[in-house]
Amino acid sequence: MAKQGGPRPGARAYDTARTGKGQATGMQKMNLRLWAWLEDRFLFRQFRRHYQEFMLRINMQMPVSHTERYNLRVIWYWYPLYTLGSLALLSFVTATISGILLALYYVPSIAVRTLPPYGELSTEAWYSVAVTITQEIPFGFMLRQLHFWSAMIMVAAVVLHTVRIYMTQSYKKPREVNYFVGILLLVLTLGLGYTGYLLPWSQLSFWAGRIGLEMALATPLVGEWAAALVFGGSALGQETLTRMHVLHVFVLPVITFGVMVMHIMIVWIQGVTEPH
Amino acid sequence: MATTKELIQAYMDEVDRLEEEARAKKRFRAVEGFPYWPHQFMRDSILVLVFLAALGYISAFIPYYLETPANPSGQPLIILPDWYLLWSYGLLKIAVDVTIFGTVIMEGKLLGVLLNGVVVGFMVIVPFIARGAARRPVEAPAMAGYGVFGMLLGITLSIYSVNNVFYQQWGILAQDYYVQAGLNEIFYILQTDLLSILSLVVPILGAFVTYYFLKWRQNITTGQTGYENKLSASYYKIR
Repeated sequence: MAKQGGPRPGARAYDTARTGKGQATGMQKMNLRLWAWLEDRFLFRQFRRHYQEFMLRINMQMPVSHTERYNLRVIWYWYPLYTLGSLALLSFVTATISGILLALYYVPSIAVRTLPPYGELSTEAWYSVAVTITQEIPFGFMLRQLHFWSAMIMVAAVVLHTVRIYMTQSYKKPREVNYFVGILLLVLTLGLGYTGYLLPWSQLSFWAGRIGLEMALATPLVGEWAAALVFGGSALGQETLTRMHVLHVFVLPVITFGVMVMHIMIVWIQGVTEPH
Repeated sequence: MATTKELIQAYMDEVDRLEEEARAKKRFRAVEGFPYWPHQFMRDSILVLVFLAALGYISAFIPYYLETPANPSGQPLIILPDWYLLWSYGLLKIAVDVTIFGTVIMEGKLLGVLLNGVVVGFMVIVPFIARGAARRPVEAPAMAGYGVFGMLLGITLSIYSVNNVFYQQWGILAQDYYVQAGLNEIFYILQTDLLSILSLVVPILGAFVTYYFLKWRQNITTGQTGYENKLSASYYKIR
């Protein structure tokens, strides 16, 4: 078969490797010879070209921030303030995972049990059944800790996120609607925190529940109906705890998840504001 | 007669055309957002690692105590919601029966509940009262003052929610000259002891301090009027 179009690409390099001329050391020559042998057979050049074309086609490139691209003045240490919303989402995810594991063992009961004191943490000998997860299942203590601190971080992140949004005036056009959605999420987060605070059914839980119940009862017209719906009547007891459990484990997380998806979808469409 | 669908189509075409024109002219236009994918996502991927490490560390080494079980008959000295709802409890405590010339027109409990709604209302009206292109606090001192007022009010109300502890520590905070002078017979809406007055005055003072500080910053930065528009034009518009 006649040779067409001159020497094939890489021929010179291959010849150098074969004849031993040029500046290459022995080891390099050997490597080159091996590479040329493989290249002749497996056409790595084409793979590389296909890969480059593919990367260009899907526009995959290292992120360049808006301020870098347009050479705007930027205060880089403001960037962490722009991840507070993501921090809230992340802590919601961890709270959900640890919460699912906790829900496998949690019993919404106001009964009290006698158990040995838990190390240095408590000198009490009796606990409400709700908190005995800590002592009775492996890593129960760590599970409650993870859930507790996820919740704390989530509320803190949501509050600081609100402050950041307010102070950089990110609620202006085109983001007004998302600001209202965000307020709804803030209220839902506080609701999740409140219902979760009542679940251990400790002294603080009970009296925080009393505050909420009195607030509901003080409301005119719908007050007693709301108290019956949310707190199970005008006195706190087993029904309160059951309702708080349902609210905390099912109703509020599902609503929060839905609203959160909406919130993030709008951010996806509109983009995140930049520090200026 | 065009259908709605056709009208919308025509509108969208026109918007596209105008945007293309603006781009072609290379005139200044408003800054777009920072894309979520992949830019913000890459930013967040760093956050994931930091967050998981920090959460594991905190959970393992900062335990919270195991509480005593609920006892409906024995109210403890301090009853509290969690820290992020202390402001709400403070509002309930600071509200008293609304009295005009000895006539009660609203119960204190109801006022406390309504004030909680007012706080949410204050947040909702923000986009309606803040207009213009300003983004930085220094460009809009009034809005910054409003925000500082809200934040400080949250803190002072949280402090007020444990007022009995403060009264025990510093008796002067419980002094109530308003009631001693009998003024509560005339008009009474919120608590008037020194601590409650401070918890309202401090946020207002903070708002004014913020406002005048930012005004001062504006003046020493430029020393001329029309500063806001110039800042907006140079910072928020790109080619």
